This record gives sequence, C-alpha cells and structure tokens, in this order.
Amino acid sequence: MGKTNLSLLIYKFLVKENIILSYIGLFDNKLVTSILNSVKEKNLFDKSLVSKRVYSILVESLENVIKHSDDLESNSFLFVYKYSSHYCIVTGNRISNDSISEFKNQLNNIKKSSELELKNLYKQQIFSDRLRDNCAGLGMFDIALKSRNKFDFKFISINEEFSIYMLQIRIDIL
Amino acid sequence: MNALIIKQTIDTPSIVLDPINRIFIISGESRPENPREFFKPVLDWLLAYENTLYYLKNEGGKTIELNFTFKLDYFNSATAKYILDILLIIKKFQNNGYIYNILWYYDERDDDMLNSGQEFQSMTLLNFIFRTLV
Repeated sequence: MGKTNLSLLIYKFLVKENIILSYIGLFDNKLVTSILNSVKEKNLFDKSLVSKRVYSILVESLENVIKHSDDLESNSFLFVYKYSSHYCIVTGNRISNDSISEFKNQLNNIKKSSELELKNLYKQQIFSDRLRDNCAGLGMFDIALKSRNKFDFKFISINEEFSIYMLQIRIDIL
Repeated sequence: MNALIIKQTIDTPSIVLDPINRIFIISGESRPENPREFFKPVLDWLLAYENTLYYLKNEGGKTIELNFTFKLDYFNSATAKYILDILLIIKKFQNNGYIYNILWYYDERDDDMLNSGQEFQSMTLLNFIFRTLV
C-alpha cells in the first residue's frame, strides 16, 4: 500500500492543474482510436465548435506523435488541460537528434506564417503530397490553422542520440 | 457497373457510389489508419465510372448532371489529400462535358468544415453547393 499516498498526490495534482486527459506509454493507432472514442463518449469537451476543433487538433497531435516517434517502443505522453478561456494540448515523444534540424525549420516556418500564408503553404503541400502519393505533411498545417497558430514546441536533449520533442497547442474558447 | 458500398466504421466513412440510382455520397468520420488502402478502391471506381459516363453521354445524347455529396463530421489531414484526389477526378469528368455539383454539408457551427470546403472549391474550381446539416 506504499504507493497510495503518492497516487493520491498525483491525482490531486492532475485535478488542481485542470488536466482532463492524460496518458503516458506507447502510442499506436489502436490507442489513438480508443482515446478518441472515450473523448466522444464522455463528451469530454463542451458540445460546441470548440469541441470539434479540439477533437480535430487532438487527432492530428496524436497522429503526429505516432509519425514522429523514431522508436515506438519508447514512452510518449499526452496531457489535455481545460481552463475557462482555453484548452491546452501537450504531447511529447522521443525523436532522433538527426531529424531535429529540418523539423525545427519546418515548425519555425509554419509558426511565423500568417493565416493566408498558411493556407497557401497548405495548398502547396497537399498538391506535392499528391504527386508523391504521400500524406504525411499536412497535419502540422492543420494544427496551425485550426489553433490560429497558437502552438509552441521544444526539443529537450536526452543524450547524444535522442531528444524529447514537445508540442503545446492552445485552443481558445470563443 | 456495380455500386461500391463501404460501411461506416469507427474511423472510416461510409461510401456509397451507386451508378444506377446516381447516388454518390461520402459521409461520417474519416481518419483511416491506412488512408491509401482505404481510398484506393474509391479512386479506382471513379476512374472506371468514366466509361459508364461516356456511354451515357454518347448513347443517351443528354447532358448529364450529377451530384457528389460530402457529408463528413470530421476528416483528418491525411484524408484531405484523398478528397482532393476524388475532386480532381470529378474535375476531369467535368472537363469532358459532364456537369457535376459538389454538395458540401457542414454543421452550421462548424466554420472549419465550411472553410475546408471553400478551400477545396478554390483548389479545384468545381461547382460547390454548401448546405448546413439539419
């Protein structure tokens, strides 16, 4: 029973911090589907446009975690916070240091773009994905457009080979 | 030509491509685990349907007007590419003299779904008719 006090502390902490959804572990498509179903069944988000937007950004963030994890055997995490003015989705997953530089450039480019520029970049990307029969590049544009570009990212080095890629997205309640 | 009917699942949409009754509807939620595998039969069916359309136009001698309906609650970014693929095949039909309307349904509170439709309209220049879900 040595862990009951610690567990209670963690529980209280999650409640105090307005965390309505948390998961730590291996992410795969099956898990993503089960998280999304529980979100829908429990009406975890308010029934409104915001809820659809949060849902849609949640899908893209979870798919991003699966896509960018260099190693699906390592733990990734998801936290969803709910405040009176906004939701906040935070994901984290391990990424190889070799892929950071290009990825960082791509994220910075998206972040500094206006809505119109984002829409144009989205169009370029969807046509180039089409030619390459690839459908990997659109998720981050979708997140940026739907969150009105309110996202942040961080790479935290673990060792010479790997880092943790963290993505934080804010969705305002209108 | 046979109809292509795919039942809706928890992460894939319902597909109805019925050449006899001329019903073409994609509805539900779309975030397939393997989008290419899911949408390939749809794209193949549409490409094959062009022969049927050709026959109808040349044998029947009438202008054919068809509606293709999208009634999606949600689709992920990977699905967007395949929606564009579908629309570009329809665009080809249109260029060959068949009239196609795209009926794009959206929840009236869901600006994002309306915006997506408008973006597809601007990318394909097809005739989109926007309708709110009742």
